[in-house]
Amino acid sequence: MITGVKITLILLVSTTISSLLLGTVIAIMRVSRIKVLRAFGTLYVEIFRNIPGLFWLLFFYFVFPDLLPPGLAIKLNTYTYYPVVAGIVGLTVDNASYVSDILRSGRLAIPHGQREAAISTGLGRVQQYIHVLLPQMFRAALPPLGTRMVHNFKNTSLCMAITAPEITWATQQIESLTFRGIEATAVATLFYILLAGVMVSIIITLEKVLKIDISSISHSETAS
Amino acid sequence: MDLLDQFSNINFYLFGTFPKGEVGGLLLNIIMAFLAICFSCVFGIMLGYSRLSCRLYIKLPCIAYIELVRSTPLIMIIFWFYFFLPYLFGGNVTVFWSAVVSLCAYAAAYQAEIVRAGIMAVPKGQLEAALSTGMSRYNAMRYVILPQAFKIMLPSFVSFFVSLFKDTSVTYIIGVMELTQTGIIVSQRQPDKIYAAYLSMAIGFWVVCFTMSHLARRLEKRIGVFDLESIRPDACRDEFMLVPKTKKTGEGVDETPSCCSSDSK
Amino acid sequence: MIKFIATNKWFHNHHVLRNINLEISKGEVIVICGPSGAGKSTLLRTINKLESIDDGEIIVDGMYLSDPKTDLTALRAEIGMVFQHFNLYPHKTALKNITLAPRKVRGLGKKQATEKALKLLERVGLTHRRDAFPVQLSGGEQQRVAIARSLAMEPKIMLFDEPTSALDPELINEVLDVMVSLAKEGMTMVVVTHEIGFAQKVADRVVFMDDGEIIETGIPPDIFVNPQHPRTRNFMSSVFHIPVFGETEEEK
Ligand SMILES: Nc1ncnc2c1ncn2[C@@H]1O[C@H](COP(=O)(O)OP(=O)(O)O)[C@@H](O)[C@H]1O
Ligand SMILES: [Mg+2]
Repeated sequence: MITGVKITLILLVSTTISSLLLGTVIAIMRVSRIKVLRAFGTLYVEIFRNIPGLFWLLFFYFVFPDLLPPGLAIKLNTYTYYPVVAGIVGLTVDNASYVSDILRSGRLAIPHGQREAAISTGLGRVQQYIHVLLPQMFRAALPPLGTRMVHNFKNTSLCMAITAPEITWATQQIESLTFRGIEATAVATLFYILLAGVMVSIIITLEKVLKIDISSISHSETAS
Repeated sequence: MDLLDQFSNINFYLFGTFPKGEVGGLLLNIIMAFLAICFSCVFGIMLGYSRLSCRLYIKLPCIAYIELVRSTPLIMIIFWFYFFLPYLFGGNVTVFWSAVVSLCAYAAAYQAEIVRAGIMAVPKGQLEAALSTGMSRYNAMRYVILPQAFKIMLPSFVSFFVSLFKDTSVTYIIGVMELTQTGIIVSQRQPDKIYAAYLSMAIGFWVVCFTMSHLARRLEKRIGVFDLESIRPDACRDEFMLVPKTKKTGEGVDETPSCCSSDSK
Repeated sequence: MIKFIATNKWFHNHHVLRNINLEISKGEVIVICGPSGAGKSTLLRTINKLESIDDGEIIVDGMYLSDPKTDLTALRAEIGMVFQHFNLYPHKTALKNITLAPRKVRGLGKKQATEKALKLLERVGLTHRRDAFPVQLSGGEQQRVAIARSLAMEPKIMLFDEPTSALDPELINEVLDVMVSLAKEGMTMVVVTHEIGFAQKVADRVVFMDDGEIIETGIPPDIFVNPQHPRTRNFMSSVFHIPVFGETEEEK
């Protein structure tokens, strides 16, 4: 059970970070001027958002190794932590499609003048994103992004389907070994609720901090 | 034909053993999602509406239920009902109904939030106009407020259906013979058909979700999206309640939102 | 018809109606004016109990509003109300906006209600717009439909809360014309407005309110031209400098 908690936390932290990164990249692709990138970004979202996350977990665990050269496949299949790795990859690709959608709306909400101002001060494309656009995108997208991350956290429980030894999987093991499934499930449920609560309060704090930040810079009222 | 052979199980994926045996495959996912959404709609409306009450003893239980369910993984909810339904109804609860009940309990919490947002988005003036023509609160809700709220809710509602439809795949965990389960079983029994199995799963889910999410996007363009996160969690709209809170005891029914109406712009 | 007896109201600690005493008889047209935040809307809304009062009594057509046994539905069915922002039901056509209450409250059949609604639409000059939705109507048209909607319940009293202040200047008169004809037919009306032309044409009395109090009551020329109280004088001189009202004056 303790290992379960540890694996769940590993899944949570790694997928949060990786899906934010991947999601940002896809979001930028989707608002890019280059048609191929835009098409690719849209294709990505259309594929991954319309197929259950569970499918991607199963796919990366059962099918993906077979697609690789046989030597590598055997290595992967015998690697003890492959379920966890497959879990991270599966959750990431699923969650990133949502993240990119949220960030894209955030990008579209930024007034045109912001980029023009950035260009006129001589910032390059990458610098525009890093200094001007991305901070605003994340700020605008924070509440839905937070909700999404809590959702992603709950989805880590699906990794039990591919025998990643996270907490839900642990409860099922306890159930089949000791028949004390109810107690184990209760503890696990409580764990999820508490951690989700912690995540929500972190997000709320973050929101408050960023709001103060914005209003102290621009002195303008932020929509509440 | 190799390819044809690969997909020889296509009926399984689509309907299970249906005309001869049990319904399964994609059709079962659709049925589960549909049943869950219908039942949870009723609970969702009641929960979402009650959450807008300013009376704490009505509001707090609703918030508690909604927030608890929203922070518990679906898989856990499925386990709970799988454990407890047989206690309540004797041993003869099929996994199908257990799954539907879990999905329904899960969906109700999310639907409640959509309903709440929809009702909050209807301007207070609409209620006042209805009341001032002499309509009862019940009629005002039924003919004036709720129709407008439903229209606002529609895009979120369809998006949620997509999400719930994908979530029906999780019910495989208790052995419901839906598309995911079918795919897994086929790929385990006939490892040579593993690609076909996974492809069928992906395409099956994709077609339904893609259609629905495009419908949702079209509706969003027409009706507009409502920002769920912009509503304060403790917001209440007592003026929309059938029996508003009395302000002073013995002073008669107070018809006004004296406590904590909140703007929903 | 309407009687306020020592009425007081607070919003939390804010004293919005201070010792209001006012009697309005049948067929009278009362115009209420005063600066923003004076409590005019609140006063109007207490008459059909959209707002309750904390102290005193209001008697409308023999019904005591502080009595919990008073049938609110019956009370409100007798009182029509027209709002600043129209509040038409956006999901219903003009015709359906009008027929909803007669059907649900009075239990009229569809045919009867429609006939009645068509008469009212004709009266406000909008027969051709019967199937339009509120978003397709101009502000003036929306407000006329709103008036028709209230009239459909055959009210004995009509309340108007700044019915023209959300309208473009060129649309104001089409609404005022309807109101004038209503006044001439002998409807009891309480109108919150700053349209001095309207007040001079049809008002029997003008009530000037400030800070929750009734400062002065009198016939229109007295209040507008020769106010007694300095606060009224102040307000009138500031209002008369707004060009919109100058135009209405000219037209008269
Ligand atoms: N629902 C309410 N809650 C608290 N204060 C209110 C409410 N409605 C009005 N007020 C306050 O009561 C005062 C009178 O408002 P109102 O009657 O609308 O004034 P008027 O219509 O003359 O501009 C204002 O100061 C306003 O802020
Ligand atoms: Mg007002």
